Amino acid sequence: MSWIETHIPAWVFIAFIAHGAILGTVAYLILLERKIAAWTQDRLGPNRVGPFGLLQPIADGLKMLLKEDYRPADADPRLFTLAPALMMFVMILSIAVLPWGGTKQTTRTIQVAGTIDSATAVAEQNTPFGATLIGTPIVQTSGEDESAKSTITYTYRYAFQIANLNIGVLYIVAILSISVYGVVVGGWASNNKYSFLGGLRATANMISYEVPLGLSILTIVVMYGSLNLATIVEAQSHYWFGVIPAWNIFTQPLAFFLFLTCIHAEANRAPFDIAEAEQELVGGYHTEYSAMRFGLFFLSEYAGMITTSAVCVALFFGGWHLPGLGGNVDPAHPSVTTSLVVCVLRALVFFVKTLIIIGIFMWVRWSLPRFRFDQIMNLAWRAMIPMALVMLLVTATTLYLFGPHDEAFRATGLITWKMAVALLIANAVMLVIIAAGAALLPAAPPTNRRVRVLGSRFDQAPAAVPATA
Amino acid sequence: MSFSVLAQSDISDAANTATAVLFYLFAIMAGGSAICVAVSRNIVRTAVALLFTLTGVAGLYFLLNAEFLAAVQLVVYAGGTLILIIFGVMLTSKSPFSRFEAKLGEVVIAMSLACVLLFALVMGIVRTTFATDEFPTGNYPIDRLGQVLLGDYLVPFEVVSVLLLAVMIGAAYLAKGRRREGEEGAARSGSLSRQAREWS
Amino acid sequence: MLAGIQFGIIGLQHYLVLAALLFVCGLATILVKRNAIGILMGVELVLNAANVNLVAFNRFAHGGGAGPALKLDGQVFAIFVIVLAAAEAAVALAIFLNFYNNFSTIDVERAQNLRG
Repeated sequence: MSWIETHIPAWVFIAFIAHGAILGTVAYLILLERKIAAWTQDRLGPNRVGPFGLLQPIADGLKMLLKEDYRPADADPRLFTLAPALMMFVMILSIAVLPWGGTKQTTRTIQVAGTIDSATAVAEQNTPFGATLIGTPIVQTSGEDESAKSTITYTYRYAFQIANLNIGVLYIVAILSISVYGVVVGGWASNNKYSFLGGLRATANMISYEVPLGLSILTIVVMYGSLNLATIVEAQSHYWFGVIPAWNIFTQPLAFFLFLTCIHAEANRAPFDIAEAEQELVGGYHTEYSAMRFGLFFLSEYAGMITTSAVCVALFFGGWHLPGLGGNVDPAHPSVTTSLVVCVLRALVFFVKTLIIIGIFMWVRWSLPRFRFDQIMNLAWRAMIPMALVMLLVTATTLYLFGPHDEAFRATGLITWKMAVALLIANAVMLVIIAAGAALLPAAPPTNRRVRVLGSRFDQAPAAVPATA
Repeated sequence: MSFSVLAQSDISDAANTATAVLFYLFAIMAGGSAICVAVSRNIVRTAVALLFTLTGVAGLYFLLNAEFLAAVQLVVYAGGTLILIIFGVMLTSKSPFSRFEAKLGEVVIAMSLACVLLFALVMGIVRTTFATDEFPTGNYPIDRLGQVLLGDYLVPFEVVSVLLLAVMIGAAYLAKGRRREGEEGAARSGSLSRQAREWS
Repeated sequence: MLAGIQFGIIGLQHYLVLAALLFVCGLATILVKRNAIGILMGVELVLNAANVNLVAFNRFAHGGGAGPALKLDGQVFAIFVIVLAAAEAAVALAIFLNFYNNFSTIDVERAQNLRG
């Protein structure tokens, strides 16, 4: 047991548990989605398998596995298989940098026979891979030459997450930008025009919304000067006036709304689900997929929702932070705790917050009608990208103007209440400017013309059209 | 505290082995799919192979401690440029399986040229002694990269941004010009969509 | 032929050999493909080969240092290359689409007319 504790790094266990929990939750999210849909539409939803339909996900999974794995005759066999695998692979990779539980500090005492030269070296040998030693180990030697025993007490810290990358947020954006390929390759490999159109639409949708997504993340990044998700979460875990948690939702509400809209678009869900619009494209890029290949597409959609919602929580809702879950070691580093229970509780809090964001996803999906393609593109390029750019500029300017005058901000890099008020006012002013600017901007070209496609009810013989047309 | 297999400054055996395994993994991924790019006849498969090359190269950047560059490679190259290329492929291939191949003679000449060049390059690399740091402890913080970009390389940075603006305008102009021409040419060609556009 | 390279310890030469392979594959792609977009992909491969070289040299040739002494020239070059590759792809694709519009093909062998 001791060997496991000192040599197997914690992130191995966290990886197993986090992936298991997320993939298990995905199955139940599908049930939740169906229940919410049923509630919205005033029906009962799945209620046959198990109590309240709770075993429905298992039945669905079995159905996926046992169905005929059909592949169209002229589909590209390799790419057809590769596409759903790529989707799932990407989603699993993106879980890696989520900051589940801050930093765990462990103090350990070991006994070594004989005297030792370098206590630090021994301590390093008995520290799990990826953990950092804090301070100097304390050595106590007892006994005489032959029977000498050294007792070493040392302290190390490790991040309670799978991988604590310095480029955390950027890593997630990078990985998610690969997920487009699953859609586009799947759509193309099916050799079906509906799938193909669905894939093209999804690509245009996702790459357009990546720009405001990145920009709204950048507004948070410039506030803290770090791309590391754990650092960003830690910086949010203090209070203004002792009661209001310093979450970014209170300082950057506009960025939060932009981010939320963008992750809806990235997930290709209603109202942005033009890629799989049933009424137009049968089922979009996964029309030709069946059995577990379809299942992988389906699961990866929900896994993607979990990841993006978790990033949203980490950026805007303080991640694991909740009153009472602060650290007990160093007031300057509220993420550091010596209690494993607190770490686990933090992970649970993080997960519950994520589920709330996912609840918003589902609420939106069953409330709003689908946008038209040109509306989606207009929203991205004419509204959200300029807004996000202005927001980044205003945030940077506010920090530049007020930062040097704020002692606490200069000392710790934390957003003080003065700074928060300034940012909030900046947000409000920006909203007014944007509203005024939107009124002044030229209107978008009318795209909703009645196109007289041959054979449609708007079609008239060319002779009936006035010559001036 | 920061987890990184690669940023280990002490050159221990375990770290070496991990680096070697990861290097060969990414190298096979990048190199193998690069060969696929060269030999594949299906243009979409070529594009997908190129995706794996780019991802493998991003992994190599990770191994070289250039984390930011790896992310940029994935976001800009794999997520932007290659998507653009795939868009181009899909808009220009009449049937998804259309192909036109080079003549056999051309292929033979090109491939033998490539083999000779590869041999020459590898021989050159192997026989040269490079002046390298013995134990490079490269650990590149991103803020330093930003300082360099907006400090030493400020002028190229600004020039590139102007270039990007020019490219944006140019590409938009080229794409728009195409549509205008299409409307003028609608009278000549009798395609359904163009006729429909004319009536509307 | 490979006697000079240790397989266990990854050094500069490993990266250079891989970059050479990428470069040669890119060159072969440019020579073999008749699809204009295929040629563009070959160019991207060549650029990537150059980038691997730049970053590897940056790491191994002056890897150390801290603070202002830290040299990042290779990485900065690579960033510029990536940006320029994106710009190049955008313009090239716009041209290819125009070409396709005029000739209904993107076979580069057919680009023989001087009048579009």
